[in-house]
Amino acid sequence: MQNWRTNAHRLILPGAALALAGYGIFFASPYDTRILTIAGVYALLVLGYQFIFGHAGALSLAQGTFFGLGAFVTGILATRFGLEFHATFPLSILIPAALAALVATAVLRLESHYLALATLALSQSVLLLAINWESVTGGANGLPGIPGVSILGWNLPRGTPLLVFVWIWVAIGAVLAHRIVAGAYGLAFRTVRLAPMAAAAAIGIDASALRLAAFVLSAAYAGAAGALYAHTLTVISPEVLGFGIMIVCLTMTVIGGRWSIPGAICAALLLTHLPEWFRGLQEYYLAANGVVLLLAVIFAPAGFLVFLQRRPDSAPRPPGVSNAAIPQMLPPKTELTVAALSKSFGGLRALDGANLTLAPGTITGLIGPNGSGKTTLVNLLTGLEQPDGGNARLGTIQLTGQPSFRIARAGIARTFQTPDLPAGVTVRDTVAAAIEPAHIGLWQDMLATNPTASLRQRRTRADTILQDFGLAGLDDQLCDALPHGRRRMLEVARAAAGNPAFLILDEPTAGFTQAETTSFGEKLQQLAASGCGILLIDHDPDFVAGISSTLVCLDGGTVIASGAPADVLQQPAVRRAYFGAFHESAA
Amino acid sequence: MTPLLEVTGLRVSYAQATALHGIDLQLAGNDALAILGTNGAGKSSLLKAIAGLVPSNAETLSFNGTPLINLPAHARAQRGIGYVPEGRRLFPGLTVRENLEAAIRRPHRERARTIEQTYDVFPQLAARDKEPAWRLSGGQQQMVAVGRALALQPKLLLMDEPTLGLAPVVIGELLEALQTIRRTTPVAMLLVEQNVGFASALCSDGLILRRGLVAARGPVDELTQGQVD
Amino acid sequence: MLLAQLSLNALALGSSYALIALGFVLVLNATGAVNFAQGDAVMAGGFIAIAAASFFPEAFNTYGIVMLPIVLVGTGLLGLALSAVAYLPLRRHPPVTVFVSTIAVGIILTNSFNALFGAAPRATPPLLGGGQTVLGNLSLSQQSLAVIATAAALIAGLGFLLHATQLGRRLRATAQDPEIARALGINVTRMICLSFILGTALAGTAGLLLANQFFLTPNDGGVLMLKAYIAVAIGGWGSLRGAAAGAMFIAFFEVFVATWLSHPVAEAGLYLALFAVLLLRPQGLYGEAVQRRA
Repeated sequence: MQNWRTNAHRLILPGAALALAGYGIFFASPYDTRILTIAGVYALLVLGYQFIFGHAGALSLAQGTFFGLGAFVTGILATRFGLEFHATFPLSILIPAALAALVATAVLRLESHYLALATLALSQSVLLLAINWESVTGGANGLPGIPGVSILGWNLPRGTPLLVFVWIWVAIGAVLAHRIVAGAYGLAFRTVRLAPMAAAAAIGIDASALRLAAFVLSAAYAGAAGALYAHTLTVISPEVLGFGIMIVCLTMTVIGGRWSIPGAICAALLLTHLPEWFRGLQEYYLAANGVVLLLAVIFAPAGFLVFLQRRPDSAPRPPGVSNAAIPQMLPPKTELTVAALSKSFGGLRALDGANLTLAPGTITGLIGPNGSGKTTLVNLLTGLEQPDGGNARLGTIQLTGQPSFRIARAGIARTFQTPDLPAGVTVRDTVAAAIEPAHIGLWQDMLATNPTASLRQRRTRADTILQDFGLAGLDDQLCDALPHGRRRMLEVARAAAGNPAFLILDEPTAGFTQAETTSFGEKLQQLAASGCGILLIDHDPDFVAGISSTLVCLDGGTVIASGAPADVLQQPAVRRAYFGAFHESAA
Repeated sequence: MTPLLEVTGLRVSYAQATALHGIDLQLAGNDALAILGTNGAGKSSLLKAIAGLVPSNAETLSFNGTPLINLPAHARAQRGIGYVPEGRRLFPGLTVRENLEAAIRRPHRERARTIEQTYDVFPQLAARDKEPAWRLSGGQQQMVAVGRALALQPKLLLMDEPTLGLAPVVIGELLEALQTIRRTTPVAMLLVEQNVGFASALCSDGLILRRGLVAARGPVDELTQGQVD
Repeated sequence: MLLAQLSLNALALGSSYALIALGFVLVLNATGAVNFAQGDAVMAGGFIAIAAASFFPEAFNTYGIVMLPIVLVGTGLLGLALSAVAYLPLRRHPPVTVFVSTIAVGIILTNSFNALFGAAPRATPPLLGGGQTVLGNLSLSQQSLAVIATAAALIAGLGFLLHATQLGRRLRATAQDPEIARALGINVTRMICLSFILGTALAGTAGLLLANQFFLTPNDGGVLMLKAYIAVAIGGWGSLRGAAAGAMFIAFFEVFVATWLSHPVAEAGLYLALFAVLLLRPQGLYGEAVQRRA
């Protein structure tokens, strides 16, 4: 089944592309040529929008604005200054990209609809400017007489040559987009989108850098598309900055699939031709767009053209899986020191001057009643929350005040009470994303001779790590298909993949059977023996005391006891805190 | 006589974990049963499954003779299952009175009487009638949470760790109020509690959950001799 | 003199904006989702009134107030439909999905109005009459006074519903903690549908009120939705009182800046205000009316 699909997919797409190209070049009427050219423009626009809406998962409503901006830059420079394509085109790309970078700090840290509305306000502002700055933009009348493409004095004829020219740019855009997302960089995007907390605090991926790159890339693509649009239409008005283009772009992206390159191109071809095929609908064309969008959101959230999309991780098993040549980097032998760490929420002091020292290569158990501050401590240590006072250091490195991903890169990895795993990503890739995150980058993949090569290397190393954690053979399964115990183990494997100095586990055995708990404990002891310090939070005192060399008890946000497990469990203060005041009096 | 609550083979699975692996339990009207066990044993999931707040499946899940399994949470509440959630979870912007009123399903005039009855059990609340709920102390919030569930006039009261985060004195007051309710109101109770002293004072019988299964059932005092710790 | 006139205009505009923003917050609180079609619900109210006017005998169709019940019912039904197609099927999805689905409904509405009524600006009849009431040396627009009175009556009615009735308590309880509301026997789905009905009907009324003075085109929905959002952001995310205050602020800002400078400057100023709020209070957008306590 899988094979049939892959093969069909390999034959159908190039075949259809070839047929379409032949038709477009040799048989299309001038009118059809124009429609096909515009389809190419939209394809480029949608390919760009996939970076921010698909890969970064942020609903930006400014894509139409970047498009219009690109169109106006070309229009203004060509009509008023007589500049040619080789000058206008790069500027049409650069100016929207620069605007995106400029507003990114304000806009990108917002979530979901805040981001959508902030970008909508941006587009309204730009539209307002275009309508009212008549001396430059031509106001509501627009800019007529935009010349065709001319490069160094050579004029590209309209019609078929322009069609081919536009689609060459689509091809360039598609290849670039593929290089950017096919390798480790794309995997980093998936990880951030599907498991945002873990991406930062367990792996050390810089999510804001990824979002910024996606936003700027989407603006650059939109600018390029806008420039080509201006050349195709020869006249532009502020309408290119209006919400209509954004709607069409959003619909195409939702229908084509937010992550599929062929899907983007097919959706662009399909939706530019729909109004031609359904002429009866003309007045209602955009309304029909809305209906299609609504249906897609409800019934096919991954896109109607999803069958065109290769399963993101169905890449063949990397050849030559060997255990050799994997440098066993030993984590630095340093202590993790927590000094007077405090945190309040409203009036509640969740952590009240906690002091703690973790020795390298040992397991420290942390127990305490609910609300004693255990999870708050972990969140402060891993930068998910900022303390009100006190600090944490790894050796001489100050951790407090650093963003989560830097703390993770410094060597503190963690797991979560509810495993934060990227649903829909394979087990192998979940771990592969955690290997040397600092070496994953846009330029590395875009300029690499083969962007998937480094990903393949990571996968090979991931297989070894999975074997080590008893997860061999599950490599191709999706994370969300694993049973609970395996998911927990995978989370630990992922955290260990970065060779952390310390591993913080927040209630890792919740929901385990007794047998699972035991084998999990053995694995932790192995890990500690290999040099990784572990802070283990758990509610099962027998389990924690059994495998820890030091036991710490928190109550009311402070450490009330610390030392050898057996001693700590016998202390009256611990018994009172952990087993309840009534138990003490009743017992 | 059929029990008020009959559960056999109750399972709860979340996306990532199975919380309950098949629980059997019976509860007669007016009975009070304590559910003990460490965190992650599935105690809260058990209450939520009975209240209909998490999807579950079971061979039998019947209340007062009616099968519950396909009923949504609000319909179960209307049939007489009151729920006191972990962490109180009052409607913070509603006043104390509004919190109680929102749960009452009776005509306007009788509403006032039900509230009077609640204030008889928890006299402290009467003085704070018009205050927004978030301004109350933890103990008073817990009293509103219990009173709110009782305002439904339930036949079964589910309570999830009502003593959590309360000072010993306040726990004592709460215990007294609940004992009064046990004496004066025909209501069965299912109490999830880590404070075994509190549990044994309110319930004679209990059961211990361990990793999603019933590990033991019997009188609370006997159960807690060596099992919980 | 001028000041009094402008203030009256701003008050009338602000009370219409307040209806839109209040409806927006009702849905936001009940579902946690932003209803992008809120601006188009305003248009729907206006166009329902315009369409209804053609069915009335001439003696009545010069009075907008006659259309009010029709607009309330029509846009209320629209709200019900909106919840059924754009929210309920997606309630287990992340909120941003609902954002896209309400965008889709907005697109359908905008373009259907375009096809049905054309893109030219249309106006509704004044509520009672288009005359002026002379008060001393002040000449006040009767339409503005009627708009303010209608909006005030609706807002008072909403306040009564929310704070003095069992239904209102349950709506608020649902908004504050839907899971616990369910556990207490409240039919949360019904409350959510009701929030959509109320929210959309309030917006629809605003359409009837606005469309006399300002004229409507089918494409104005997006801008109105954006203004409602800014009002809500300024007033504290989720607070009804804050939303109404924010709406008034926007209207006064718009009217006065537009008079002294120009309309585009006023509008641009609003967007800048939104950016400022987002930049300076990125977390503070959430309402502060309710605080947590240990």
